[in-house]
Amino acid sequence: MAEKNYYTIDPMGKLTCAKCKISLVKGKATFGYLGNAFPVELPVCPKCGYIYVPEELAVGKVLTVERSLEDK
Amino acid sequence: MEKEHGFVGKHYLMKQAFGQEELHKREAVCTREDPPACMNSCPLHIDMRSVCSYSAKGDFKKAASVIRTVTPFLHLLSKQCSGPCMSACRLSESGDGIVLQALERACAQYGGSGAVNRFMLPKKSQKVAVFGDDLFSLACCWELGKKGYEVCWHTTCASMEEVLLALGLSREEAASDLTAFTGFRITVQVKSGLVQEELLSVCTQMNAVCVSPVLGWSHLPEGVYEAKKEQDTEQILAEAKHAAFLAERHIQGVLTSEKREWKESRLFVTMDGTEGKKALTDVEHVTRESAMAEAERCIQCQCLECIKGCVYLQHYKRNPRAAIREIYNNMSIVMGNHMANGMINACDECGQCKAACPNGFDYPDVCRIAKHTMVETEKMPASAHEFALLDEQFSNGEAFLARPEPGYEQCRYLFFPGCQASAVSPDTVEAAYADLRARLSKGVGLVLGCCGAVAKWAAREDLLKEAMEQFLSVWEKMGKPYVICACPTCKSVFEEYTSVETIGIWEILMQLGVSPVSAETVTIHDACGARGKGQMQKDVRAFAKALGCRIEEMPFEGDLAPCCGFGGLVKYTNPEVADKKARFAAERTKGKILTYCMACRDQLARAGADTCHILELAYHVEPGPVPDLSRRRANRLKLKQKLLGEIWKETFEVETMGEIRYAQGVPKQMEERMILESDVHAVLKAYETSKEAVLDEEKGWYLANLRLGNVTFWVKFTQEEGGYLVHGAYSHRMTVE
Repeated sequence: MAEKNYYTIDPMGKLTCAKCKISLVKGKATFGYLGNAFPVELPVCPKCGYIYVPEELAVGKVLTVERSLEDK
Repeated sequence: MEKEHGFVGKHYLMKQAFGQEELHKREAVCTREDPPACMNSCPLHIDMRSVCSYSAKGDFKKAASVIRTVTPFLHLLSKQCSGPCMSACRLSESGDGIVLQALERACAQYGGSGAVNRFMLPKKSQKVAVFGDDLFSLACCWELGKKGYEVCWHTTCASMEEVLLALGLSREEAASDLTAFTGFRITVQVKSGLVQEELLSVCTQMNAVCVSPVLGWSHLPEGVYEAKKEQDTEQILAEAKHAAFLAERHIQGVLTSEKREWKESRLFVTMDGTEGKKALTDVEHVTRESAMAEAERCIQCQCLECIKGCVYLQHYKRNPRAAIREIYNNMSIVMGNHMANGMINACDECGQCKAACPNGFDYPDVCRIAKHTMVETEKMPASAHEFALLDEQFSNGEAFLARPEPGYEQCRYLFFPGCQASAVSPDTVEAAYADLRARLSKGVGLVLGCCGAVAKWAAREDLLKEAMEQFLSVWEKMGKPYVICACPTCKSVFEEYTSVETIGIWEILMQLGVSPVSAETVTIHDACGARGKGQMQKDVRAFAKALGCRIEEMPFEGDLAPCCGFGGLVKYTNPEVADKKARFAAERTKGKILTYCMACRDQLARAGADTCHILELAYHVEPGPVPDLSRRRANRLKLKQKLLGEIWKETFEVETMGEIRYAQGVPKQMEERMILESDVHAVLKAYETSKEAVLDEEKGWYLANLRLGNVTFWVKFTQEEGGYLVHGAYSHRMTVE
């Protein structure tokens, strides 16, 4: 069975790693909070592994999940 | 393995703050569920408040159904009720009480037939006999039939209708009242006469018996119930209700005391602003319109004292009695969502509701207990108070300053302006300290820091203790001076947790002499820290008068003053409620508001009020623009730097942040997201070292991040000559890897 992904975003070649000067690609990452882990697919630098969290995600879904976990 | 430790699954920390008994005790302090005077005086306890409410809207069907849930004899009541509620009605104190008989008549006329759907009627196997020819026995039949018992009515009457016709009802009216008997299992045993001897044989076949008091039978055996002989219709119906209740209790095998005690209702109703008016006089010819007009006079007795001035309770649409049950449940659950966390953390613990309650219902205390329980059981949302606690850490760390007056090792006084004064109006602190040094002898020391109120509100006793110890250590070094507080909350905290002698600055300045500086008319916004402290409130007013102000009181002043929204750290935990609170506090007057707490001054100014702190007025400090979160920190550091340099001739380096400019709208966004300029600076500094960032080619800016404590900060920026231009910032608490 395929691993569940809570969120997927494809950089579509519009994001570049400033350090490695190469385009970010869709890569696996894990959000963690209060002992919970959520596998996601985020723009990642294929060389240095730098993970980018977009603003819409941080102030949207991530914030909502943070708040609901805090009330558990 | 986990089972060996007695845990199944996750290990949960549990703590019961208080039990159900205490919950009930606390709930009982509130009188809002006590009946209104009309209902309490009615032997049948008819909810006449609801009858008035529906009647005022012209909904006589619903109004009639309220009466018919208690008794089916609406037509009879409308003609023969003696109306004890009218004299009990609170309106009778200043005029005429509501004529509820008129409303009963209107309900009978316009309230429909009273037919009831008996689909859900329970069927019980026990049987009850009723003896009598009067209203009492008929009412007993209804009461017992409604409870699902099979009823055998022993009577000399040919029919139920005969009883009602004898009481003066028309055939139509009697038929209407009797529709409620439809579907009941009642058999009628028509006798030529009722004799007590028959009772013994009936008792053996029946589970209980009710006997009309009119029959005058005595020495009744066990399981046979009669009642007091009454004249008034409503009393007779009430007696029948009680006899049926006793019969049912006998069937259930429950021992019940036959004594009934009338309790006075404790419901508090304010009659302020209620004018006495005349009642409807022509009860017999009541019309739909006249009944509606009479019902509209009802003031719907209820106690809203705590809610009137509390924006928080209005926001959550709760009354404290209901809210403490929710909080109790919130504390009790082991798994699942803690739905009341937000509500608990949005209470500013200001004590206004307690001061307004005629019985002193202590809602803030329950919130306080809940917060402590949440902290102890690790259920306090991490994000709730962290920003404020870091601010306290900043006040008592980087921005902390404690010095005796130059030339003194030990001082007679210590000036403690409070963290808010240094953050909001540092010039005022500087001027006040200069004045105190000039006019007080034997030395005035200075401590810039936080009293620990932040930790107290966040229920962090460990951090409160830390703040206290830090303060007490410098206080002792300065020779245990009198502490001059410029903030009522600091004063309260020191009084509660230490033995230091405190004095309000408004008090000491009055002793030193105050010159008039203004001829303005002002209203005073009392601080939460001054609640219950009448002398402090008086002293501040005397100080304002001495400054030349004319004082005009506004609604909700003194102990009933609303919180500005800063208390309880609501500003950080629930900015929406804090803003509403500030607006409510600010909009009580159109004139100038004088505060004596710098947090109040800041909150009221944010809400657009023409406001200033009493010390700003005294020292001619022009109230500046409302500082944002970063300015508040910068102000404290600058004040420390300035005072150290000018008074103690010491240098204090404040780290400069390089050239960072912010695009339009970014500072406001950062304020809303509680991101400081120092956070942005830290991210950019880290970027300079690591060069780790993402280039958004579409937008043309870079995005760099840094984890600071429990939060990851992201900054959108472009580089420009000599610095950076920030296009936005955001954060998240989740880790990502």
